Amino acid sequence: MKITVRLVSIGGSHIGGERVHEVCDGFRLGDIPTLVGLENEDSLAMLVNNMPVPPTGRDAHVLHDNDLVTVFPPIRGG
Amino acid sequence: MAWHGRILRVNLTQRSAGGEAMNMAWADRYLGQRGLATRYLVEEVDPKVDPLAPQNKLILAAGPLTGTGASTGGRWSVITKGALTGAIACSNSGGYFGGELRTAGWDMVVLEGRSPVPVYVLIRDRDVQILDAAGFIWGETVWDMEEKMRLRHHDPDLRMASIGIAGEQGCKFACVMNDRDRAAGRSGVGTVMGSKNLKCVAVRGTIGVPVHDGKRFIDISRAARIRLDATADARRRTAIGTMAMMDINQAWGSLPTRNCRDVQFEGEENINVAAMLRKRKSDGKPHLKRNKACFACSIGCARVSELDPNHFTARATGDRYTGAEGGLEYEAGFALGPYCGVDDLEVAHFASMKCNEHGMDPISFGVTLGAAMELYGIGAIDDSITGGPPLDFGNAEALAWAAEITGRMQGFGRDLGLGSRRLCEKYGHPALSMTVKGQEFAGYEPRAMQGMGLNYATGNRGACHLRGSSWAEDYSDTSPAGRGPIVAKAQDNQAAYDSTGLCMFASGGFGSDMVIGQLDAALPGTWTQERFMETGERIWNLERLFNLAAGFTAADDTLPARQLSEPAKSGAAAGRVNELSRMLPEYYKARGWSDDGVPTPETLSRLGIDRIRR
Repeated sequence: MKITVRLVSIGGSHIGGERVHEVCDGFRLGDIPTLVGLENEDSLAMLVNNMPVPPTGRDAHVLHDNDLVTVFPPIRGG
Repeated sequence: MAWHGRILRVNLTQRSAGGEAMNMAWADRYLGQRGLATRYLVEEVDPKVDPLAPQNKLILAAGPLTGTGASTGGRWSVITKGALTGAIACSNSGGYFGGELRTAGWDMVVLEGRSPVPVYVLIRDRDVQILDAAGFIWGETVWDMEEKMRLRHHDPDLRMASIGIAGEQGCKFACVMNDRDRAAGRSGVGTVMGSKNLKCVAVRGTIGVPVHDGKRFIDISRAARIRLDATADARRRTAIGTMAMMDINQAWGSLPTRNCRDVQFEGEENINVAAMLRKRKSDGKPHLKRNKACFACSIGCARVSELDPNHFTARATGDRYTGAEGGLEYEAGFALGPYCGVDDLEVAHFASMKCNEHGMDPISFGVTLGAAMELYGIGAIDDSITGGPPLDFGNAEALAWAAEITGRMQGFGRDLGLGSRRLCEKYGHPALSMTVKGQEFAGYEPRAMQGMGLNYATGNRGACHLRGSSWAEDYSDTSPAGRGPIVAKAQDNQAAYDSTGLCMFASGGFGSDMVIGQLDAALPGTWTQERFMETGERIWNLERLFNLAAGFTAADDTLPARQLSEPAKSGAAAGRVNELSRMLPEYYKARGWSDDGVPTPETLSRLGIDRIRR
């Protein structure tokens, strides 16, 4: 199945970007950081189809075809 | 030790200045900068005083790590009773003024009284002069004033804390500016400075800054810098600066838009980091030129931009604004963009430069203008009152016009210069003011960030994102669960951190052990995490006592009706309001306060807070 991952203010460019990924059925939200190379980030905010999913629910959250996952660092602003 | 132990006291009424020993017992309990200056203010100023009366005092205060060479150790603060709010005000700035003040041998400057004529203060190490500003720099913009001062005093390295025309003319949200585009921006601290007929405090230092254990301090500050520079957070701030928050808040649905009628902005992509990096169609150049850093900072989050010479603002003003200038930071960006419904990056930068040269807070200005645009939209004000371009949301021309007339306090600019609360009250719609204790919201929507709403409501200087909030929790879920104690602890931590001389953008990268370690090496005695947090709690409670004595009550710990009763239209919190009534009792309880928001005798005794004038 295909999912779209949108990185916001994060990643190599620090700006982010959007990319479609081909993943297997049953792919879980908790596997997203490894998929996009952000496994070393301390913490990440995540939304699935614009609905927030707290860290405690991510390993159990199974993604579906055409889901949009938004990821950003919960940084403090100025 | 990291203190000179010297305070400069300037009496503007008597035109006298002299040094005195700093109260080291207070420094031991309140650290420096925000905490120590608050202790002095509480001791010396009646909380009920009119902020613009000569009896109010203005304190410029450095922290123990300011000027030491610790990464980001260039921070300093202005502490007073705020003109915008009538509450205690502490406004924090970077740049180079703080380091220079400490290098000149001073830890703090207490400015009191009111000069009968406009003056400025010139500090060269221990030599202090009070000189006439009339006919020289009074009436000048911040930018022109800095240039004239350096020329007259033959010193290109002179550092200045000053007001612009907004501060001279009584704009309620005037800043104390330094280094052209750095600002102690909030709560009207520049308005207080203007009320004293004081244009500028200029300083040049050659003495240096001591630390208690030099070898240990150099070792740990170097290790702290290496750790900080390697973090993803610091690298992100270097690369894209605070404007990163524009995309984040748009994604979460916490981007205050059109006076908080909306929480996401359809034109956001025209005014975000990517837009700053994109080559313009008009001249093929990107808006953003480079980054820059404050004293001793290894992050360099500040932006340097160039206005499009083909933009209507540049065509109308010649080449004054088309050079490389301090660029948009997020707080100016949201206020001068989405908040007014404007998606024109160039005009937002132009208005930001106007705020810098006139010395006014871009947050309060933009949020006040957004309120005026809503008043205009519902017919509460019209062209006969404004006398300018149609004040419609999204009108870039109106934004540029309003920035100039507000900075100079001309025409309808005198109304805008009142701030959002007074403006909305004047025109009969106080509920349209997005303020707490009279201070305008920052760039985070309380319906989508519950803890931020609690932090705004309980902020000792009114609505402010920099007092400490539940950032990670708010960006994890939109419920209010558990926010009370988290916000209280974050506020305590921030109060102590604001008293060190370090920049908050380094706090996560340093880690608490490196913050404490640098303090412990720089100061005599032993600093621990527990002592640090207790110091922060002591500072927060002392600020609270000042506000209570000034007349504030628990009824002021609230949010505008829009946040409490109008559900967010979109984003992660679509359909939600801020649940302040659920969080506030937990917050009071976590603080050891009564149900009425008053610190209990037990809490004050535990913190060793001895007295407050009433």
